[in-house]
Amino acid sequence: MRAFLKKDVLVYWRDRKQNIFSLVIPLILIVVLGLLLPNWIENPTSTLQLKAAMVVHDNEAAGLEQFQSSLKSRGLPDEEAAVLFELAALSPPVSLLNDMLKSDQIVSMVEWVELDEEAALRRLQSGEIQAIVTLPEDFTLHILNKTLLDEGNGAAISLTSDDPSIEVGVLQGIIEGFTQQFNASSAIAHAGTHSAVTLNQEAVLPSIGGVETIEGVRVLTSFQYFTLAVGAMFAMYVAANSANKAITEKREHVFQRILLSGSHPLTYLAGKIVATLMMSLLQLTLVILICHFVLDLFPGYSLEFWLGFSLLMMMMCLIVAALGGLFTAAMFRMNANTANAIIQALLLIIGVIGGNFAPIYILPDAVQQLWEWTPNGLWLSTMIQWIQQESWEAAINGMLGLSAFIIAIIALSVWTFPKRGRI
Amino acid sequence: MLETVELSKSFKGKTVVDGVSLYLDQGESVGLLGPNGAGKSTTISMISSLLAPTHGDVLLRGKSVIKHPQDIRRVLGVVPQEIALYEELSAYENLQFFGRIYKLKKTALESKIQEVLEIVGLRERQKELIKTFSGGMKRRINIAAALLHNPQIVIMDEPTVGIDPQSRNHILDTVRYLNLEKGTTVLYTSHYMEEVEQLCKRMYIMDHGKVIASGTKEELGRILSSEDTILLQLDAYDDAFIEEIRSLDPVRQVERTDQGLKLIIAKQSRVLSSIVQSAERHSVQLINMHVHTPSLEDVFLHLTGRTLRD
Repeated sequence: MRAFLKKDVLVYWRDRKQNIFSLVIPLILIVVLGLLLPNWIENPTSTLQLKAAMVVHDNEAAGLEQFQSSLKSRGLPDEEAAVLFELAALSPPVSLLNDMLKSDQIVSMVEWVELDEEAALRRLQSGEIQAIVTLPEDFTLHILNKTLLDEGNGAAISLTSDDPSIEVGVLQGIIEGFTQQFNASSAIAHAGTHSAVTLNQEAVLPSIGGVETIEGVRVLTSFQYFTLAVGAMFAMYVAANSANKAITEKREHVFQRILLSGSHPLTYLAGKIVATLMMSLLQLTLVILICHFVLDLFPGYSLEFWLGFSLLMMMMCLIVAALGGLFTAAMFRMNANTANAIIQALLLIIGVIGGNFAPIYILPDAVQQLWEWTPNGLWLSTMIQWIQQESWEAAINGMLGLSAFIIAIIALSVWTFPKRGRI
Repeated sequence: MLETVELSKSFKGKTVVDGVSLYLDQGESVGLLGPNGAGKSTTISMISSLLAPTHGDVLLRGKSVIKHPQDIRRVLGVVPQEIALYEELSAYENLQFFGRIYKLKKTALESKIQEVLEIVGLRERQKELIKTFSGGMKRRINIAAALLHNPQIVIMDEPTVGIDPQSRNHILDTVRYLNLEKGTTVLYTSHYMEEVEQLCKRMYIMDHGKVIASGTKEELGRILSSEDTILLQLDAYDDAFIEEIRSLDPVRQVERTDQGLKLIIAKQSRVLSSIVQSAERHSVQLINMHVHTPSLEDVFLHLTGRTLRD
């Protein structure tokens, strides 16, 4: 076994062209993808594109004046009326909504056109735009009355569309999010005025848009994602490379010479699996370490994080090693060209489904459901969860699933590998 | 020592080896001749236990190799036709790997590596990668790898194909050394008839999966005919000279050629002095005379209807 391992490692190590391919190409891809698509992971909506119209029936300045007049007519103390008006003037709902909808992040997804209602409907029917956002008459006044004075029924922002696309759904979510956050912020501010708390600007100006951060969950960056995805993809090519070397051994009768020595065929297969493990571990470690130091991938992460990260990396390399065994068995079992075509196709398919070529969320729902049914997809999913949450429970669950994959693939390799006399 | 009994192999209904029976005595050097596709390599694979025969058996000292493959693997070294080496490893690393899988201990392996490198004459180049070697040098390391475990029997499948004369001579010397000096039993297959003639005392000729002839060189030569051919290159001659030659007792046939006459005579008859005397009597100038004895190549052509390199 040691002889096989040493031989395979030396053979891999001296294949300069393949080593450069396995190391340099992923590094280039990670840097290029990370720079070209900086927000794919942090802000997935940037990949969506939508054209929408904004129809505004409200007059914000007039609404504020009417609100001020209504405060006077209610006979409120001057100080309280002044605070309420100041609040209203600081957070006029239409301006806030406009600021949010015209922010860089939203504009990168939605192209806005200002139209009157009739023109907007016409364009919606002709398909030139996919949605209309309408602010009704006296929107400002009704919103301020509701949020600051708790009077009336407020006003609704309407979204009109006959397009059930993801983009329209996302826009609807953004508007609903804005409404909820505005209501909550106003309620806090309103409570503050009644308890004579000093006006807190941060409290009344909601932070809307951008990355939504869940407590205790880190944001995964594009560079982190692409380092893992591309690194794992190229590690899987180490398995294909192992199989290609095996077919040379078969063609040149080296394998027959090995059998003549009395060595068991499975010793040879075991050597291939362990050598593939070592080479993929080296390849993946180098890719991740270089990216970490060059791109500052995981700054200030704990030792515990690195422990879990290393364990998961080992799991991925075990998957690659098992695949190396399976591909080697396939090469011996069938015609080399056919086996090679099947291996390349399989890597391509599991690479796409597993999210190694592009983030999984941009793929159709049916494909997304298969994500964790591929070993690389399950690994990527587990690794992302580990980076975001550092949850041992999730990591162990993932590792159990990956172990099942490893055992199944190795069992299949052993079963498929031709026995003596059939080679 | 080693014997095949009615060995046959079929692939998908097509018989590629058909009832081959041959034997090798201890210390003997035996040739296996045949054109491409004759079934030589398949026979070798079955003898070496890599391929199970469809029918028949291989016996090593009377014991079935099919039932006890480990027995033959311990005593057999096979030099395949292909360069069965790792191009990315050095000559030393290749030999170290093959020695280790034969479970040679570290010290024994080291001295054995140096010994086989000495035999094939590449000790000075042992640290160089195989991919930097010439075809002939690769073939020599290919042989060295088969000798690491001190095999009692060595099977060489076309070991000199496509190499330079220097390496070829070295390989032939190696085979002689193994057979004559070390007493190794050799089964040698080749396209080159002269190599087999030089190295082997006995030979088997295979065609279409069958052994069609076997024996020593002399025995095989007798298969062809009981006649020799004499080619006479003459300056000028007349019909009277031809008639006198024809009247000589051992001469069976006389034909005119561009340069003189072609005589078919009884094998190993003593007629040359009579021909010279006739030429003197008729004042015919004898420029050249060549006696052509049938070679193994002729025997092969006679038996198979094609040459070895067809």
